Amino acid sequence: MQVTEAFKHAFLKQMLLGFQASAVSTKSMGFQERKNAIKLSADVAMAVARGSRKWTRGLIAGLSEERQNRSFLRLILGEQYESLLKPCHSSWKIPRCKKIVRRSLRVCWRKQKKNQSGVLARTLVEKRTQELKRLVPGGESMDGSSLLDETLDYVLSLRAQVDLMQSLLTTFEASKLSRSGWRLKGRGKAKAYTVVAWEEHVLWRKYMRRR
Amino acid sequence: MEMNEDRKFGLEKSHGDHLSNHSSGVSADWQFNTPAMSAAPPHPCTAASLVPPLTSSPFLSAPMAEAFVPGLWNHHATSVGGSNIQNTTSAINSIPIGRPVAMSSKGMLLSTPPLIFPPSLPHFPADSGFIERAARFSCLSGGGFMDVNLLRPSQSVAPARKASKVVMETQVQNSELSMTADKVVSLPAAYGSIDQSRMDTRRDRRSPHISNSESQETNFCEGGQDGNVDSSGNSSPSDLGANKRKRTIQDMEKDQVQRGPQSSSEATETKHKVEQNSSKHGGNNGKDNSEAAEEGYVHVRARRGQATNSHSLAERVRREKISERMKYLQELVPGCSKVTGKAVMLDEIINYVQSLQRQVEFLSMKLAAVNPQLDFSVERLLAKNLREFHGSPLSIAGFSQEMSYPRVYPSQQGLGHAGSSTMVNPSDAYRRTMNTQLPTTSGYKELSMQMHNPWNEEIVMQMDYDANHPPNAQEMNRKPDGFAI
Repeated sequence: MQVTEAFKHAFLKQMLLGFQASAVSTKSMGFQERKNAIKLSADVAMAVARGSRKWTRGLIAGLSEERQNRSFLRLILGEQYESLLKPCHSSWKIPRCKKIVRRSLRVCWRKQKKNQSGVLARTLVEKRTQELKRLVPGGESMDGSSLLDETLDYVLSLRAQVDLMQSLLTTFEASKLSRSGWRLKGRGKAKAYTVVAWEEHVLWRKYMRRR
Repeated sequence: MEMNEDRKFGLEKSHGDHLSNHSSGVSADWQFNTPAMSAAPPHPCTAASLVPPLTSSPFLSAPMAEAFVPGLWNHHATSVGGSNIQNTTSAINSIPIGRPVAMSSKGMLLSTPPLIFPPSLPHFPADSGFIERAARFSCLSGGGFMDVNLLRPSQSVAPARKASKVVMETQVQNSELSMTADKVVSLPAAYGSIDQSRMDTRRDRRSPHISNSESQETNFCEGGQDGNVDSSGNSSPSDLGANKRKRTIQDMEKDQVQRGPQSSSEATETKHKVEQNSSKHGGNNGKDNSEAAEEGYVHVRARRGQATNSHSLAERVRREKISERMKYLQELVPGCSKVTGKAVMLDEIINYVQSLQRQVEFLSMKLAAVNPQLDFSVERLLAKNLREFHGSPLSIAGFSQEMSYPRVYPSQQGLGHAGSSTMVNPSDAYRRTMNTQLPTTSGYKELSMQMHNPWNEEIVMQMDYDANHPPNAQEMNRKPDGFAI
């Protein structure tokens, strides 16, 4: 909807940088490793291109939980990486004055006692809110409306990510096809295409079996 | 009255300056809207005319306005505190946000001008649809007039109580605009002590200075912006930090400063009501003052027949905010237009997010599958993909320059081609070409193809070369591959 060209631009650039940084095509990585590296660099690119949002910070924090990602992150982000991670975990919990929280809870309880009908609806919504908090990176520390805000942003960026990866994929496939197809010519082109598709299909099956 | 108007324009001017600063300084994509917005000429317009500029620049959104407005307030707060606002209305290069309170003389300009969007704003979904919806919403809410008191954050006394009355602007459209702008943003300010910290975080999140407000965090894509904000001195009031007390003191000072000029403000109603409220809630001054003083706030009028309890008002405000967000999400998530109710909507949203994540996973797997047969050629990918996104040749040039780091890789990667080392050369030659001449898009395509596929000799030779790439030809001849040119 409103994803800008500049964002896509930066996203693509970052992703390609990430690919290069992880040297995806040079190392003899297994399929899974390659896939993880691609996904990692795509996510980091999305976060970096988006700028500073709650979910981007949460995403990077989540990614850096695993040791293997850290060197990559450090490489990509440079000095931002350290500064990003420092206050992260401590500031996840929004500091609230206990007195105020207690007072508000008391009010809520009073209201609930009067109004039992909405309880079911509320629990349903709460459950789903919890689920959404799990899905959106960094969502645990957000409250209702900001959660929706971040979800909105996150959905937009995810969409852009999907589009971008899709176009990358078609580019690769096209060039791969042309590389093999040009040599074969004519019917060979179709043959090359089916070869590619079959290879992918095999890998996809392997992947699914592992999951 | 004059003072206020001038202050506002001065504020906007300073904002305009900030904007120009930012556009140069920002590396990432926060400057979605500045190009669009600075292009749009300011016109004294109503909300109706606000819509055309908005539709023309699809990036604009009221949520952006909402994010923008606190920035506006922050700036204003700082400038008021520093009393360094210039009374220049002429130098506004970007379109100021309409001051909702009606000014008789300068009513034209004030009435719902288009919005300024500093580049540092997070970009929110937006189109005129949102404005209209928000306008409808404001009408629906009947007496729930929202007012952004851009120039009187010190009237925090009232808004902090949430039970403050609302000033009825002369122009409904103003209210609509301001409502869109501040309803979402400044609502936090209207909260009482309960939601204080939440308000702060929310507001800070939305403000462009969010990274600053988190004292230790640095913003990794807003360098220039942050620098400017910091230099503006009073960004600290917008700090959530942990220094509530410090803020309180500052805000008390600001309150006093603002209290003076505001006595001469135009909003007679507001003032009276504000004072009524302040007299009512004489008690809890400290924190609430600081809250509203920093943020700007919304006057919420209790609807007829509804409880005027401060808590319920706050809850209502909160609920309205949430429903507004849900409406947005409804637009975003496909197939949710008919769905009503929070629970079902949330369900759909969750499903959508999950499916998107799964799609990313799947695509990355496919990319991994494609990859081994193909080396990642950065420039080639850039050329191809940028063509798809927006075929501006200059962007490629920019890319090539920025890709100096990964350029090392192509040569390191065992391409197994004699021309592997020439990968470095094409980008140089390419850049030079791009700088010297701007080929047409079609010419550009061919250029990219020929520049970046040293191993796709077949493709290159099949292409028709444009006559306007003699420099390329010279460069290309250096390649040992010996492309036919």
